[in-house]
Amino acid sequence: MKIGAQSAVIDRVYGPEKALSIVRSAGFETIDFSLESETRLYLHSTALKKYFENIKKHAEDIGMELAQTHAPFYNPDKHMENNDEIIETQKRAIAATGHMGSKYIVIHPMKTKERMYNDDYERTKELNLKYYTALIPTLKEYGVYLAVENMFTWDSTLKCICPTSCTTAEEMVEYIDELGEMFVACLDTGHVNLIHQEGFEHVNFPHMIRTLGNRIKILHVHDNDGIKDLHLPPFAGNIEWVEVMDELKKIGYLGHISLEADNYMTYVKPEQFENAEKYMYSTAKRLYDMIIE
Amino acid sequence: MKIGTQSKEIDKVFGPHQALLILKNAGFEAVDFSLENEERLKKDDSELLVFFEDIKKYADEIGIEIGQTHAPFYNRENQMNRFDEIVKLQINAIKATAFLGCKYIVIHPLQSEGRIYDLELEETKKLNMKYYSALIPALLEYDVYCAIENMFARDPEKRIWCPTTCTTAEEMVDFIDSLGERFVACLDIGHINLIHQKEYPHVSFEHMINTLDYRLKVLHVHDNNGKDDQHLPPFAGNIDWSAVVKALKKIGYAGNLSIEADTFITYIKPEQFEKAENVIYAYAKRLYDMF
Repeated sequence: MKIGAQSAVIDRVYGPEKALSIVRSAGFETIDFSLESETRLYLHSTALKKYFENIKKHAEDIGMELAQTHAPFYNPDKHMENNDEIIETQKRAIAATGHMGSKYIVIHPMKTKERMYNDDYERTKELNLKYYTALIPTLKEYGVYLAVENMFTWDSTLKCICPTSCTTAEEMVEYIDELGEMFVACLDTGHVNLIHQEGFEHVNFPHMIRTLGNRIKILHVHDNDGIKDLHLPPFAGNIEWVEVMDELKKIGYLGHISLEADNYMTYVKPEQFENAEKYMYSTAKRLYDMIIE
Repeated sequence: MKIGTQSKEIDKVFGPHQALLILKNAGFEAVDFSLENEERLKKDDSELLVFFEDIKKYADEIGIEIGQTHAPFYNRENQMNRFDEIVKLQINAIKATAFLGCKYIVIHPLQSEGRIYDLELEETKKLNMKYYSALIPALLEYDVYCAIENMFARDPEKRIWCPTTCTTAEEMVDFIDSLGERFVACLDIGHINLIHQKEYPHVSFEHMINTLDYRLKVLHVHDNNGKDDQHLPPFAGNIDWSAVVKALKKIGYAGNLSIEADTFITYIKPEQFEKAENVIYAYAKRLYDMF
């Protein structure tokens, strides 16, 4: 088990190689590499390979593992309107993941505009199975596993965050098991902490972790106040981390502790990125020590 | 018990009023007001009164308590060479504390040139008695209490942090009880976590809190990795906060939970100060909820 962080915010300022170096200097040994830049993904296939292989080489040189990537994600309207184009983008993101020698890519499940709570459940499932199935040949070609993440959406009537596609572990398991061996789970700790509706009491850490079991291969570790998706470092919100780490230990989780708290990095002066990442590393280390003990 | 934090770094960029407002908006109800700006303390009495009372008035208006202040502090060489000048500045810091409507000022104990471990223990005590005693008339006149803080120093040979003046609760108690009713304790949680020498097992959270007991009136709450004085928010280092809270509860600590993690703020873009202070507040709230 290694301690990881995102490259996203530093990459936007300094580019991918310097981002990896800064994160590595702060103590992290693994990275959740952001593939949010579509410009990079639309490089010609030879250039794409070269571009991401260079990043891989730099990561190897500095002793940083590129353990997981994050594919671009879209709002429901954009996704429905541009589905074919988005599938092409995600295939390229899978190829980039393969070129970087990374095993896991997180691709969010789609949600229709109507998909709140259990409304539009079947249609969402049909759309997602179609979407994810279209990616299987590419996943196989590059030896990459697709991690389905637990999500949330916004209830504009009640003005609160509410369940949607794959908010529950049960729906995630349904997708993963139907889609087959190239699909695994990414548990987003912060997202679990945002769901409080009656009828969704099973969206809690012990139940989600036990239900997903060994399908959980990667994590998005961040904290919040239970109301807003703040993407704060662990302990800067109200998540009961002892419980989370205990449950992960119980299922024998073998993946990394990968932070997804880059919202904090958007507050930081670029010249202080390394110091700020050191502080983030410190918070992750406290979690790591809980699971390793 | 209120949740507080430092005004220092935001004050440097935006001045004291804006600093207080940002902290209040981020959720804090109390502030550890920095008096480290010597220029402000060099004002004459009437200017000092106007400057600091104006800040107090603003704090009252926005509903933030100035729970404690932090006096300027100096390195060993400076404090010896400028002794009389520094005493004068500290007297003005005491006045400023009173004009801010605040009860407690933290004034670091002095460390003599050779004071590491228990070397020069007596000399240091003598020096500090002289230093703090010179402040008593001002403390009495302005009805302010001086909080003595637990410190650490650098062992230049071993290149590690080591004990110095008032690292132990026993030495703090000795100072406080010798100096009389105007003296109380400020426990710096992060500093305790930096002392690991086997001859100092009593520099532990439980023992220090128990020993200081009713003398403990203010806190400097911050975290670190046990090696560097990082001044991180609680839970961003390796301090066992359950042990700290348990000990504080046991002595019935009734002061504020005041964060001293402004190093964290030095990383932040000024336009994002409030959001970063929100993050510090969230850490502090987790600690507060443990009480």
